[in-house]
Amino acid sequence: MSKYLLRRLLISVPTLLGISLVLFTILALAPGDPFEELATNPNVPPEVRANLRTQFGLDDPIAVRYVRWVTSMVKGDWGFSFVSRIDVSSLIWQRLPTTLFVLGTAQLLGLLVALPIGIYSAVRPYSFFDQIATTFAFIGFSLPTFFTGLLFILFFSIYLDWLPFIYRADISATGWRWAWEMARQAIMPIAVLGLFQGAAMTRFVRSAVLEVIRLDYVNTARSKGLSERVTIVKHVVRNALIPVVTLVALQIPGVFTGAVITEQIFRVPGIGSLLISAILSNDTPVIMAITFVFSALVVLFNLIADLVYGWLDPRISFR
Amino acid sequence: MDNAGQTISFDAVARRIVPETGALASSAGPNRIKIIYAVKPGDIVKGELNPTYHLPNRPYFDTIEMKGGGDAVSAARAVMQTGEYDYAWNLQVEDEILKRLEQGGRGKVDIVAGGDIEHIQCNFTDPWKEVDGERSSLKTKHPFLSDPAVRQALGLLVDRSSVQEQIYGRTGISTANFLNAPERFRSKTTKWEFSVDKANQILDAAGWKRGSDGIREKGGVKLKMVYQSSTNASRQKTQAIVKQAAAKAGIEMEIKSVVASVYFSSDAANLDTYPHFSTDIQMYTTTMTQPDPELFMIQFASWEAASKDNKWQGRNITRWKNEEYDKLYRASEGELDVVKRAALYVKMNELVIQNGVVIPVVWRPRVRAIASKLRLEQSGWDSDFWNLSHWYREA
Repeated sequence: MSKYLLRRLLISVPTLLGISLVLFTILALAPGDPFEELATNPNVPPEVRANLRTQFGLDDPIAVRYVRWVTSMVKGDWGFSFVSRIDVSSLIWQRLPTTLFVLGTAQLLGLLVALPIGIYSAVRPYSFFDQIATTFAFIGFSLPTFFTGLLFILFFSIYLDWLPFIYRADISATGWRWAWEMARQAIMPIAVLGLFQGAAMTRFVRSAVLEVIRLDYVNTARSKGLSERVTIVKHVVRNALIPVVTLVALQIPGVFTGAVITEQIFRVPGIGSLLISAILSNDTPVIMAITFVFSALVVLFNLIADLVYGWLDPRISFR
Repeated sequence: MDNAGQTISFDAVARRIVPETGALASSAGPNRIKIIYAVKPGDIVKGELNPTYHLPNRPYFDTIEMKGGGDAVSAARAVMQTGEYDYAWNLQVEDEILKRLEQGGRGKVDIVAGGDIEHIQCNFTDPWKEVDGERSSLKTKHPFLSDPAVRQALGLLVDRSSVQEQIYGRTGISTANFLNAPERFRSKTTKWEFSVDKANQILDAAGWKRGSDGIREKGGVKLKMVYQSSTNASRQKTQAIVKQAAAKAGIEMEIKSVVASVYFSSDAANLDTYPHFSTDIQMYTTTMTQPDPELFMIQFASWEAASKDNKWQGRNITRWKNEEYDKLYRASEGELDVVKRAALYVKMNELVIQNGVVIPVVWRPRVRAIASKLRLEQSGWDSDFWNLSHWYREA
């Protein structure tokens, strides 16, 4: 097992290097130059601009810049945002709590919806409950989040006037009041994202469970006299969860990068909106940091998913 | 004058009362509000009262918070419909939507006339030929827009009253002039007209014959053009109205929209900014930031032509060159007689219009949304926050 882990970790090094090389080259080839903005500012003499370019090494060849970027990234230095003029790491730290809170909760909500509904639907396929659940699941994942988001705003903010639709990351209140305000403003974006994810996952859980529940060993378990509850939870769900785990594990990196569209609608200051504005303003260090961390997380969670398989299914051995 | 500053504020809503980064630094000045104590790039700016402000008991409020991100419609909604914020500005939103939001009852639209003009520019250089690594180089000539007949026909194909009625409403008045305000500088003789028939006649007379595909051509040059603007619902609707009329006159238009933060940036390395003008025609609003037109009218002076040499900082985006205009502009710079000076500007505007250098579409007043209880005075010329220290909220 530890040998397997070591091997996987070693393989991920060239993978990540490859990814970063591709990202870096594409960004270096893209048109636009962050420091050209300074050309319009009469207070910035051309020499200062030239100095800045040298300081950030923008005039060096791509290969040199890439090596410099990789070495500083390894040392934990994420670089300096050209546009916001602060460190990339502090820019990301400012936004990370909000992103993790909103997207993490949404992911959790999605799971909480999908697991019980999906399992119950599969246990009683084509029952009335299953039909209703299927209908809602299809509605849920065929409506894009920008549409449900606006619908929620229309209903809860405008018609009922219950919830604010603009998300404020720093509420000045403290204690319970803070928690209350936070919950009130977060409920809509979380619900929009969570229900969307939940809808798709419900279908996934349902089909996974349905596949397992027909197998002979489930009948055996039942004929042993095990209660329905134990049969489902211990024998069916545990086996059915394997594909679900992959799906969830691969979605977790997305929690870090945020949801671009939903963040835009509710003005959630998350990583997604940071990424978009960085792309539009050629803020290469920020784009690199976000996209690279995202790919690192994808690689990492792939590994975690593989490890969890082993725990869920002891037949899988790591070699 | 460019729109760049505006696009920052474009997206902003205000809580209590709130300017955004750029605006706060430049217009309110550091001494009106005490030092900004929290800035999160792209998200929020906060400020609080400066206890040593030179006017006693001013400003009337203690803290200020500005929120960025999002779009103009949701900014207007947060003020007028849900009342989460107190002030939103630069609302280029269809009037129909503004009216509906106003029914929310928590705020109202404030419209103050200024000199801003939404207009279509004709490119006098060739955007499709690269000379010394530069498109729309001054060394080239546009293949068909250099023909006055084509520009004249284009002017007849912009249905300004439809644009006003269907899109801008109170927030954009159809006009024939580039220079609309103050009153004494406005030309009284210019007229605009929407007539597909006349446009067809002019093009026929100038020898632009319809080909088998219905598109006019002359000497192997087809009347196919790319029409660029920034991404904004009002602008894309205007583009559609013009495109439709142009098709009836045998001109094919391809619509292009560029994200505002790129289009209005001054990135010399990006072809998609408005000063690069890498398309045949483009449309945006030039803001007039002072009632005197001297700075505003420099946009047609030949020495201001935007090019690679001046890193596209030149203010003449159309690259139109006209000796008579240059002479008039030079004269206006030294003219001390108020009446004669005004006459010079009227003449300059007429020259621009007669030559079809630009096609004015709508004269746009400044549009803001203000919470019902917030009291403030606005200007159509200055920054939104010129007298921030006098803003107050009625109990």
